[in-house]
Amino acid sequence: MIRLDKVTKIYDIKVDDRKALDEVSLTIEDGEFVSIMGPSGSGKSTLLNIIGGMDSVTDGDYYFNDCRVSSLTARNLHDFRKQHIGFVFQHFALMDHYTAYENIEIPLIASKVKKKERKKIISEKLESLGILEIKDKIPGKMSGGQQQRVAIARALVTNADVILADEPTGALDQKTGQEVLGLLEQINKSGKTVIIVTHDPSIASKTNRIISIEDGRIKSDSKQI
Amino acid sequence: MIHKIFRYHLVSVYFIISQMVILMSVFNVLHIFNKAYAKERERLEAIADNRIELTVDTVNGQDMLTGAGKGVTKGNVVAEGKLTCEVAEIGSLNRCEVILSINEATPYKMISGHIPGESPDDTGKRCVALGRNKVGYAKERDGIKYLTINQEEYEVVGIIGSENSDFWDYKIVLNSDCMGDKLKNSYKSVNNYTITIYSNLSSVQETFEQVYQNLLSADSYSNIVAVDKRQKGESTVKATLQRENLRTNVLVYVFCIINSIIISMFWVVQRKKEVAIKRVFGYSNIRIVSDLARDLLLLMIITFVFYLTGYAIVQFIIYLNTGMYDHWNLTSVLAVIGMFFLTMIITLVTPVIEIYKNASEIIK
Ligand SMILES: Nc1ncnc2c1ncn2[C@@H]1O[C@H](COP(=O)(O)OP(=O)(O)OP(=O)(O)O)[C@@H](O)[C@H]1O
Ligand SMILES: [Mg+2]
Repeated sequence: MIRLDKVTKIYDIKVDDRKALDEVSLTIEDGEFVSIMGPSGSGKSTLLNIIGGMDSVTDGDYYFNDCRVSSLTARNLHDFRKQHIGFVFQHFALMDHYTAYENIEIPLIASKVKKKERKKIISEKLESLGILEIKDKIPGKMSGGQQQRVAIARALVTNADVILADEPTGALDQKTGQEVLGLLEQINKSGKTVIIVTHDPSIASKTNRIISIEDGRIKSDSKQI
Repeated sequence: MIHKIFRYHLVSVYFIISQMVILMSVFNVLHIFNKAYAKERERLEAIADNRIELTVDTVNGQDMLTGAGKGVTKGNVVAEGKLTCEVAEIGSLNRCEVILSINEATPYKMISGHIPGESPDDTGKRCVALGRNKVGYAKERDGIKYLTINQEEYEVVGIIGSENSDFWDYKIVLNSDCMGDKLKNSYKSVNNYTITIYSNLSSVQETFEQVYQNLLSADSYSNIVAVDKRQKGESTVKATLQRENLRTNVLVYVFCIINSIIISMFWVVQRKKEVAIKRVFGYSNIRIVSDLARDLLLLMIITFVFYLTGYAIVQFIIYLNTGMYDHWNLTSVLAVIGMFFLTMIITLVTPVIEIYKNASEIIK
């Protein structure tokens, strides 16, 4: 369970004291499929980064299950991320000079998984995402959809509880975008919490809950079945 | 493994090249030092325990050299200083030394043959011993080398040189008993030279008195100053180092170190995305830095191995051609290892700082 309690985020008080997030309180249960919507600059990515433990809060508290993430040290935060969170980014964030296989391997190496074990896990994931044949290709030689699948595989290999996706379909065409969304849906069905940021209402409508934010505040929060 | 290091091949290749130049400058500096000290060692080894040096000034145009060693039974006597000879094959005047008497082992390091006068066959024959550098000018006929000195042909009976340094390489050693008349005549007009009497076996006082008498009987007006030499003379190390391009090599090294820093910075810049991604997916800073260090270290080792191989080959070729090779002592080996690590540390400092400074985990 993710619980935010009056979370405020100001990036740099000296430069700009505007609140990227303004007293946001929010609870997301395990296994939810959530989309976050809102205009550009409203604080969507900020919210996602805080949930993912990539950024710190300025004020307020963030709990993950019983753990108070907002007060973790850098090192523990690091471990928290490794254990619980999988990220998917708009522009895939794949390493250009690494093959699909090597890209997916990164979180496993970070978690000190043995080489043999890594191979097994990665092959399974490649297989289930239908991209086994591109495992030795570098990102530059893949289509956008393939790249995002590789990125999703990478988010999944460590068996994270929560998958965070910042505009995962933003750089893809309509059809590929829907395919990727389908994958995320499947991942959610397998029991993981999936939170995506999107501009696209047709994508958001496929999720079970839509949170709209504006100027760092939650404007609406609607569950749908 | 290798393909992982060469992922960013352009930077890698550039890095290797700059490391190569670093090694070259380091090896050059060491080579120069080794050479300078080897040469000095050789100079010191060649100095006899007992020495008296005579500075002779004469104006009468007498042949002072032929009779100077007469009656000497202890120690060796050699004339040098302003003595030169005219070698047709080289086309210039060359410094030379003329042995006046041999009664014990000479200090010359021989590659082959002997010093004129050391063999009974030499008497009455025109012959010469040459350093490696000079021997190249000699012409060979029927398996014997000849050199034309003051328009007369001299047989080369010995080649002087050592594998340690070039200390002996420019020597021309003659003997007053194995010299042509033309050269002898030319020495009549030399009015200043030094004569050294030396021995490792006995005192040279007696010999000095004999030579002194011989000189005075050749020209009673000559002015002779005798100095009993105790010191080993001035070290040649400084002069050798000055002659060699030590400073250039040091500058090249410094330049390349700076270059390496820039390359390694560029290395990080190029891997910015990679670093950010690795961080997001759980790599710690230490892990990222150690990966980077491993890559750079491997590149350095690859370069080092390449360089050593090349160095060995070049040394072998030089050895075949000149009979000389670099002498490495413990200090030089330690110095190279030290430079290797220093270079590595300097190269790594910037990326490490860079990585720790920009510890952001946000991917745009
Ligand atoms: N690293 C940062 N440093 C300073 N300010 C930032 C930083 N990242 C975001 N901001 C500011 O915080 C606010 C929220 O940014 P955020 O990236 O969360 O918006 P967003 O909703 O994701 O926008 P978009 O739809 O364009 O991605 C913006 O005003 C932005 O300028
Ligand atoms: Mg955003």
